[in-house]
Amino acid sequence: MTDYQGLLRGIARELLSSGQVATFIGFKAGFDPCRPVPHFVRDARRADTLIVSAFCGAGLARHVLEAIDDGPVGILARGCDGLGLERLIADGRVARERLHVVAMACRGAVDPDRARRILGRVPERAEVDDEGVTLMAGDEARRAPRDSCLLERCLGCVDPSPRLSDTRLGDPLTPGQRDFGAVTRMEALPAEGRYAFWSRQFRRCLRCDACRNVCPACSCRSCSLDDPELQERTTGLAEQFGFHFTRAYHVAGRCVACGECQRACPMNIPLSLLNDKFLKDIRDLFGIAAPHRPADIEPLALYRPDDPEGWRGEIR
Amino acid sequence: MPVTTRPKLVGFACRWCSYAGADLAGTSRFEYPASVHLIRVPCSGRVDPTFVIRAFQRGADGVLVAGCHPGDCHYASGNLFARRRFSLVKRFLEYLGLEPERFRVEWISAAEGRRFAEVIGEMTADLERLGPNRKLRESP
Repeated sequence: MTDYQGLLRGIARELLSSGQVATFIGFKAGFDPCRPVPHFVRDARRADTLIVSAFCGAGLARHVLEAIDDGPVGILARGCDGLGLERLIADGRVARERLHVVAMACRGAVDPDRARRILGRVPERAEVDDEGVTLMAGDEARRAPRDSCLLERCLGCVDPSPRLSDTRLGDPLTPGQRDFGAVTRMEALPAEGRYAFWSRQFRRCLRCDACRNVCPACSCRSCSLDDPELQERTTGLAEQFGFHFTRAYHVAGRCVACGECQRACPMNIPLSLLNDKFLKDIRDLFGIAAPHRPADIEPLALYRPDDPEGWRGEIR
Repeated sequence: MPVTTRPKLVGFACRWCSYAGADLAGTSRFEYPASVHLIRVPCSGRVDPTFVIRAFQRGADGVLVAGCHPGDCHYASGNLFARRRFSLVKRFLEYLGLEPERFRVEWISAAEGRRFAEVIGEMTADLERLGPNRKLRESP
């Protein structure tokens, strides 16, 4: 297997010491071997604190905003990060020429909680391939199917490699096709069933704002979710519906389907199921294959004289 | 004495067409249920989906967004943006479990007083059949 970690450290060291970037964003070891955390390297001598492992699951794109004021940023990007970066560039938050994207092909990241349940102890290493995942701790190794231990967002991933790249780690993988199977299954439930499902999910929400704070499409400096006129900061069911409606609607058409909101959610609320509904309707009604579209086509900032009326007929 | 409840219907009506249509319904003496609380907005494009959510949260049984027919917008394109927006919002509210009858979008011109009265009548009948809305409000 290619030593991506060694290559990445070399690239970061070179970028930092030559002054091409002021900050390099990647991962460092966390408190558990299976929980690496996003990491900002500002000194070439610290480049060997960067790690690459199958547990690197957090999205990095949004972190660019925390470093871009200090100078150009180098960043390790998987497919999901790449889409997030494209979003930030399209939104005018970051200039393309101030980014150095180290594009890495990714076959999926392991969910530390799921892996731990399968292995019965804290996993230390993991290898992901197209057929399955090998989880390892000490001299124990166990093979598990992909859908049992990868992050939810990685299972439906259709963008294993970023489209943006300045340096590549590994050959790009072929993009897939989005199928929205989970949305279709949800739509098939009766209205009462859907309402009961979402009430159950939203009732658990802590209103920690993690879903918003990690979102590359939700980076307005002033946010309507912080405005007490528009969104009350209480956790009654009515406000939870309001919050989740607003969060999903405000990224509709701009959501890059990276699934980072759902990964960041401490209560595991299936937020992608909300975002995907908008993505699916935008595809079905307006024929725009979000998020894979040119940056100048914003589905909700455009119209065609012959647009369909989506409220005619049944939900599907 | 038995207490009869009438559905609460919140209508957002564009200032140029639908609100004038509602005026026409009044001046023409068309009869329609007094269930509608009409809110005048500059354009159907002015209606933030948050308004719709907020109306349901605060006790509306149904919400109507009414604007000029596509092509007739006073601001040329406001209702065309609204058409895209509420196409998504309508489907999303149903996806969250709201009954389809509770949220409607209609194009009502200033000449369509009769149409305005019809829409309010239809919607009120639907809401009476469904009963008070509990969704997006409190425990089911």
